[in-house]
Amino acid sequence: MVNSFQNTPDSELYQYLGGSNQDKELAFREIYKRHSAKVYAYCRRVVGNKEIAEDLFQDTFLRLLQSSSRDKEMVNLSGYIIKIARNLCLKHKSHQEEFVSLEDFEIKVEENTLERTEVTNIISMALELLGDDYREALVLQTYDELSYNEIAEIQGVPLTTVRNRIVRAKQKLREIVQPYLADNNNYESNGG
Amino acid sequence: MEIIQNNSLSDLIYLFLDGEADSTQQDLLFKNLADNPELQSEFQDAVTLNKSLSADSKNLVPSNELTHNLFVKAGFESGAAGSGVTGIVSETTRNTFLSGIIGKIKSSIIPASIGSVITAALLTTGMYLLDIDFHSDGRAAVNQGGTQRQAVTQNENTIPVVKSESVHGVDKSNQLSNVIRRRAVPVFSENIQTTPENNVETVTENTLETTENIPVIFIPDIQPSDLVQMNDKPELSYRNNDFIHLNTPPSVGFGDLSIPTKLNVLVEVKGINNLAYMHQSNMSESKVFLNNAALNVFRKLNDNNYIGFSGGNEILRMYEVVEDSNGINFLNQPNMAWGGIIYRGLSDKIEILGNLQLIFDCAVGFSKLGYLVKPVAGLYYNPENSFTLGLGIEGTGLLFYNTRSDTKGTGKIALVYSFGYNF
Repeated sequence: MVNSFQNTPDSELYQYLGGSNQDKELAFREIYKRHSAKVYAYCRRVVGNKEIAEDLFQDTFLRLLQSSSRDKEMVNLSGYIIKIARNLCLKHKSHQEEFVSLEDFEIKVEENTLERTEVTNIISMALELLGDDYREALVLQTYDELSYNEIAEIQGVPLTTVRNRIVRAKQKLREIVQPYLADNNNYESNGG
Repeated sequence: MEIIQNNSLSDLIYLFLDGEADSTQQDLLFKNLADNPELQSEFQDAVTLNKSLSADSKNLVPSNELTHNLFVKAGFESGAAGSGVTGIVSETTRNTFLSGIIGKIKSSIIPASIGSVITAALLTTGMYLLDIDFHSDGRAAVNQGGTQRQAVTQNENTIPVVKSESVHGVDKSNQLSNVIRRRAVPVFSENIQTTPENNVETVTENTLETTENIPVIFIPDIQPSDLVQMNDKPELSYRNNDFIHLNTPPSVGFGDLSIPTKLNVLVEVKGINNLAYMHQSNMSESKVFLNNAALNVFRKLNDNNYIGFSGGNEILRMYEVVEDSNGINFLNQPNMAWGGIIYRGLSDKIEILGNLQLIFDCAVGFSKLGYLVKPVAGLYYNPENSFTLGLGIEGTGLLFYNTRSDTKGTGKIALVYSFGYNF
């Protein structure tokens, strides 16, 4: 199906969500194409649990759809969607139990078997050892490709705080995965 | 310079790789890198770490099943199948992930391909015989005149392939970090299978959408309170920003995060100020602003049409015939409760009138004294689809009431004013 919204800016796409059913669906598809990967990465890495992250990912887009209106002016759809995802993730985290269930652990092990290499496996697990604010800042910077300034806007903290969070998060990650990084570096330097 | 004062050389490595170090910080970093093996080692680790994070991000794309489920939940009946968003897997992911499982499904691809060819042939023949044409937007329809006989052998709608490698926001194209930070490139395609032999993507399924009406989306388990409101949590407030999309107009903030109206129900109270009567008589009536009142409950059909129930109380200049053991009496200007159905038609918002709308109501109801017809014409104010104000002229006709005289009907004209709220 030809999507007539391929070249339509985000701000207009959002308004089409409040329009006729046909426009709504086409606009939703286009928005999904443009932004789903970032939102998905954010949910997965901030929440950790795949199933919960995918629920929150779906909720994010459903809420976007529900919040739409022809009368609302949208100036930063990407940030808006991340904001919805962030609110949902924060809400989930505020309600989740403190312990990690065995089922969660099993899911993580299972999901990792096919998708990733060993180092990325370890990194994704190491991410969960970081504090929430540090992990989120790192995810927004690395997975969602936001600049420090953009992250400061989303997290509502000064730029210097974001810098510290990201740098400390990466230093901590390096500390955790350093043995594997060393192996990897040796492998690469040996022409592997 | 605050970074240099407050952070170590180690910090500068990460700031540099993220494209956040200024020239002074870069100079300082490289000056120390030259003769500091420990720093060199950390630099190498940081590069590898960034690469690994980038590689991890490439693997994180929503699955076809997840996408399909979302579209179904969203009320798009075709799910993701007709959306062009199936196969939302990056090229890298496809090459690594699919190559790992391609062997497992290899045996099923060939039969599937053959089946698809047969399906396409049958569809082609069927559409030719049935005179089905494809619209440009992909929906099929039967030609009315049969003059545009056209066989469709392939979905003519090419699914867009999005390969955006742009890094939004700050241009860091001249920095090493940009290379590392470049992320997965999602490729969107419809019903694509990749054969391991020639790595050629082939469309294996055509989708005919036969409905134009997508149902209204209802997701009852989502409440407005689920969203963290900006006012409640100032630390979450999203301030004005101008990043990410440079083609958007100047920022004015995110706007309202609340969920818009879902019930499409309008509840309205109406005050009635009687102006003139059909049968003037010596009956007196106090001149007050509110003579009568009514309550309307509408179901919004669309922006211009409402239908619902109406009821209220009226006083007309008439006599009610009351027959009891004492004989026949006439009750002067009785209170008359009534109820019925009401239709409301609204014009579009008229800019030169300050976005006011023209309104036309027509209620038909019953009372103990007869049938009522109550048309209203006036102006309507509905700024945000929340509260509403109305002002108009209402006519009221009472038909076939029993006066035991020749008068079989009466009426009046009134000024009406209403206040409502959309739920």
